[in-house]
Amino acid sequence: MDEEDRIVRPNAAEFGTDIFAELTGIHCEDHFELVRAWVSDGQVPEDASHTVADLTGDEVKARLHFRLAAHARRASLTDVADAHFDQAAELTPLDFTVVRAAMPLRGGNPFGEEFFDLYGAYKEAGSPYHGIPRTTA
Amino acid sequence: MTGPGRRPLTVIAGQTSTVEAVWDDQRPIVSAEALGELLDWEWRAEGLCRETVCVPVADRSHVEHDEGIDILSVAEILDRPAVIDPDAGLLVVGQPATDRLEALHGRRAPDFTLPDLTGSPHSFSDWAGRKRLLVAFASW
Repeated sequence: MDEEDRIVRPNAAEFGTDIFAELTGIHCEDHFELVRAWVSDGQVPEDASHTVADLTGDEVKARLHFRLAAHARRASLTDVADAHFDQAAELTPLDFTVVRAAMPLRGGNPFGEEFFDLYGAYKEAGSPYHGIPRTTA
Repeated sequence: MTGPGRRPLTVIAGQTSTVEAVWDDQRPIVSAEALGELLDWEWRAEGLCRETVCVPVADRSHVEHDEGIDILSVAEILDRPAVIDPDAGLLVVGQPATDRLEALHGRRAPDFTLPDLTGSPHSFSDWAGRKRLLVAFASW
């Protein structure tokens, strides 16, 4: 965001290190360079003009189910939480912010087999993401 | 649940609050005072109002109930998506689509406030007038 509160570049998947570069194909230094060029010289990358598509009705609903589930989990209403985590995942089965985020909250491993199953299905579907699209990952 | 009964309703919206509600066929009815606390909108003669802004309501019978205000109808009128679990007494109300579209197409980020590791709140607008890089990540 710039000094006038404008979004200069919408969200994109970027990394602070190269620890997952082999998996993601995204190298952190590329993004560091973009940020340095913008901060020091005001240069804005071409992809900054990308308009992020709005959430679908199912994606909105999934986030509400997730939020309800997270609250229920904090209140020790485990069955309620599980039911709404399930409904959220049914609505958006490839959404990391829903499905992967629920894994550790449900006692799963966000780096385990269930994650790699999700990641495989996500890649197969063309890496759908609400942000600047990637051609390298 | 087959008829009106009184039990708590927890509403997860901008903040999370619990109020006493009358439940009519799985629809929670709250007092007009509670509505203001839960969704930050008041039920007035002009319709649904927040400060000087009012949304007219053509058919008030959709909102008004013998026991108070139908909060699901209010959410619908305000174009705020909602998911309810009547058995658990939980209702989550999201932001209207217009807020998202304003940010996506108008390229204006909405302000927000989050606590730091010590619990002290910080708002995005605290750094207004400066360049800002917003990083969202999960530690898993």
